[in-house]
Amino acid sequence: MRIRTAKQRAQRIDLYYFRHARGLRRWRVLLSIAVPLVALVWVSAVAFAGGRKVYSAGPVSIAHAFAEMKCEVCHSGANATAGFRAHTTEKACLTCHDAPAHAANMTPPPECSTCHREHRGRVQIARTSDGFCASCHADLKTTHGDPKVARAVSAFPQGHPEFAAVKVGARDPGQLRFNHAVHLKDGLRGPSGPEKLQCASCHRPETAPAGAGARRAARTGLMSPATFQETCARCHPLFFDERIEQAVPHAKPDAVRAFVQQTLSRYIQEHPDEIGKPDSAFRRVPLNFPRPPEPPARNAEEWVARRSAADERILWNKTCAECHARSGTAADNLPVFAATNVTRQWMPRAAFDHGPHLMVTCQSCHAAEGSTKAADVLLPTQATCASCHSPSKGAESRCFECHRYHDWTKARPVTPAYSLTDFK
Amino acid sequence: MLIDRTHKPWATASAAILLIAVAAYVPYVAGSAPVGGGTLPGLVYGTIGFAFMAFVTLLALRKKFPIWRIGRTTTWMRGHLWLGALSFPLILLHAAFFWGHGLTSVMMWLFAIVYVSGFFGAWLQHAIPRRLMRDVPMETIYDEIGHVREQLLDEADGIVAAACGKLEVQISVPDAAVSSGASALATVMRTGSGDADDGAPLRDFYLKEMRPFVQAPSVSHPLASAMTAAAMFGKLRPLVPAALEQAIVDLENICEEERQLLRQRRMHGVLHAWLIVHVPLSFAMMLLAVVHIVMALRY
Repeated sequence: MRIRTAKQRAQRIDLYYFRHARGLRRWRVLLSIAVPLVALVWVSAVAFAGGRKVYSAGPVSIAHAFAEMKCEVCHSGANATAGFRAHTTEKACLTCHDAPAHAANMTPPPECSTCHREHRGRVQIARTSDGFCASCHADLKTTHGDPKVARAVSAFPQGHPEFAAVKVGARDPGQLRFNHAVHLKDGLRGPSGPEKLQCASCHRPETAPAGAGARRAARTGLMSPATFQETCARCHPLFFDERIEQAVPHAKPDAVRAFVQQTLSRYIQEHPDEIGKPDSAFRRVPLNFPRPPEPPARNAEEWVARRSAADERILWNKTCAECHARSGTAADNLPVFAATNVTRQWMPRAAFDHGPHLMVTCQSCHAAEGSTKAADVLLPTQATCASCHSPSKGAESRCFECHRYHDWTKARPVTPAYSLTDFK
Repeated sequence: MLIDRTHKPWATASAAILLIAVAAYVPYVAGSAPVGGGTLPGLVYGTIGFAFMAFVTLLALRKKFPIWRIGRTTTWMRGHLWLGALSFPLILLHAAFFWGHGLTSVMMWLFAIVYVSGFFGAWLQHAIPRRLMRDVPMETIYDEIGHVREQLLDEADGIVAAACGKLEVQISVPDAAVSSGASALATVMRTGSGDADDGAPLRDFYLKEMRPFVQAPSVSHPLASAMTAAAMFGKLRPLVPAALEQAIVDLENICEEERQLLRQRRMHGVLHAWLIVHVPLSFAMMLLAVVHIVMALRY
């Protein structure tokens, strides 16, 4: 019978078995030395090779990618703090970007890195989170004076006030008489027969010319103000006399008067027999109060003076007044018309670019077909924008999409602190 | 270590720490200030997380010197379990849930593997020992299995020699003798009082079937299965005199012990294999964490 007592079983054991690792324990010991050793060799090899990418907290932004392998551009050198630490300071940013402040009366401005987080991948570092804006604008406080913007703005569309231009009671400050509804009707009389006008017939993207910092002409994102010559003259030529084939220039009244008088003088020199002819009845203005015909002019000067006065009456009271509001009378009985005051940029605190929106019809945003008054503001409301620009709809809705933090018009030139070799 | 009711204070404290950490994180991340390891809250999370990691790693040192009077090993083990479980969430909060880049990414991956393997190991510690107790009553010290097997072989040789009169077998020569030029195997003749002719079937069975199994146990051997072994011994019994029945019973018993040792080795492998991943990677991670701390404080 195979009987094993506890003593017998105990005697089978080598009392010093633990001195030698076997099997899994041996592997564990070996790997516990080898794996940290491999890690140490890796770190040492990277350090020996001068590579520091491994210590980077992440790829730098697109704008700074050129200096990714040169940590000291931002982390040391002239920008370094004393001692072991090599944290990036504000000075490092300002070496290349002398970014102007946001507002003169803002509470102490944050450091660059508060909004522009570096080492977050190949992102556009200017695209900051709404949280940074909302940290002040959710409850806006200023160092002095009242803010010129809403006191509480947190996000778009919720938490954003209605655009100032379309708030209840807002009017188009323009002084030009214009009826969009009439001009968008079918079958308008054009120079070549009936036609249908489109928005683009009058409104075209604005292009900023080259120069003044811009290397080439570029679209501003706004729409060019419609000019008479480009948009109106085709259908509304400024004819002033049935005898004359020419139209007056779209210019100041004194220039118009000079043109009219010169043109009539030239005409009567070419047609002297016209001097003795009486005016036809239909030349009288207004026609519903007929006056007896005047005696024929005695000479060319009198003829020109009479015709000029009649033509000017037509021009000032009908032709020009069709679109322009008369605000007074100047010397020589010349009319004064109010400045058209057409708004070029409806949202001066925001940047809007028509370019990316060209795939939608103009009427999607601008209710022009129903507008009969020149005072109507045809700017879309915030709700219209939010139909695409909201977190749930996909189109960008963060603050930077429309607003700029830095007023780059006040930027100052920086003094170059690096050479190309610094980045090799 | 089994996680039972005695762990309640540790579990409560760990849950409270995690809750506080998460509660503090919510306003921190919801605010407009930047989040990340370099911010003040991030550094606090990182410091606490690293302290836990260091304590957890020191368990290896504590085990290496069990006679040090620096707290009971069970306390250290509980700390290892619960603070280790806390450390990864704290490091995630430290990193503001960014996986990192370069060194930090490597550390995160290492930490994730160490963390998951730790949980897997803790689960194994609950499942395997119970099965081991049930299925391997003849369990011995794992490191001594080879040594015990040599003794089982010697015991089996003795039983067969005693039953069959004589037995010629090859045995392993001690390492010391091999190093002095001797062959690794030596042929020895063991003798006993039994009748050689009566015991011939037993001797043949032993030499052809059982001894190779006892000498080099394998799960593919027929005797590795209890049912097959019973059938094989059942066939042997009619061929030998009744006087050798006791010897057969003893040999069956040795086979059973071999089977249990096989099972123990397999279960031990399952129970401890995760440590081959967990321990070395945690050491490597701690080393890289120190490098990370130095470089992060610099930049």
